[in-house]
Amino acid sequence: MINAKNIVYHELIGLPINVYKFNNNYLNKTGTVIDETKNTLKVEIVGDDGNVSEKVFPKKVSVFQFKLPNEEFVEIEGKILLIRPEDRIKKRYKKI
Amino acid sequence: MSRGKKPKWMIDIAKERMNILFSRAEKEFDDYPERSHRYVQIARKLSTKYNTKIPRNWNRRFCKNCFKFLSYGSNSTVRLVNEKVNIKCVECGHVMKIPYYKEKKNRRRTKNESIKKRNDE
Repeated sequence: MINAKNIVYHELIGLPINVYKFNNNYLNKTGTVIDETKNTLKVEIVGDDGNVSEKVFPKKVSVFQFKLPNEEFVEIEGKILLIRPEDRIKKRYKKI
Repeated sequence: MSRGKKPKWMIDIAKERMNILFSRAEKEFDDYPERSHRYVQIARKLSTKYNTKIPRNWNRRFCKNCFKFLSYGSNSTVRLVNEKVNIKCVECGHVMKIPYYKEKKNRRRTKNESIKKRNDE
């Protein structure tokens, strides 16, 4: 199961997300993760009037908050995730 | 990381991720079929990178020729022909043929054993 310790190795697609910071500015946009590549995350956002839109956020300059299935919030800097999604399991991180 | 067999905790996480991706693909197929085809692509990459099989209940749910997600009844058909399960992908026309003689053999064996038991008593 996904928890706060192994979220860096685990699957991000399907998790509720809040894009907390973008280019050093506060930008609170909530949605769910649809797709992931080496440098970007694609997020589906439902607006106040019910319109559904897809937005692409670069990982390099943003800070994300993920909501886990056990209703915990985890904040992760995008710089840590700069790697292909299938290679994320075997990368060694210095401190988590 | 060296080649060959990976440590157990890595393989466990890879299996969990494949399960998540396929269940997500089944959920999103009706509205966004391109997303579910993309999830199959990512799951196949995980399986080849960590030398693990795709979980057994999801192994028949994608085409072995064009690697698209198959939803029975909408973009694929299932028929029993010549003692084989024929799964046809409507998108590319490829037919997967899976024999089921082992299941038939097992069923026959259990039936014979039960008859023998009854006769002995």
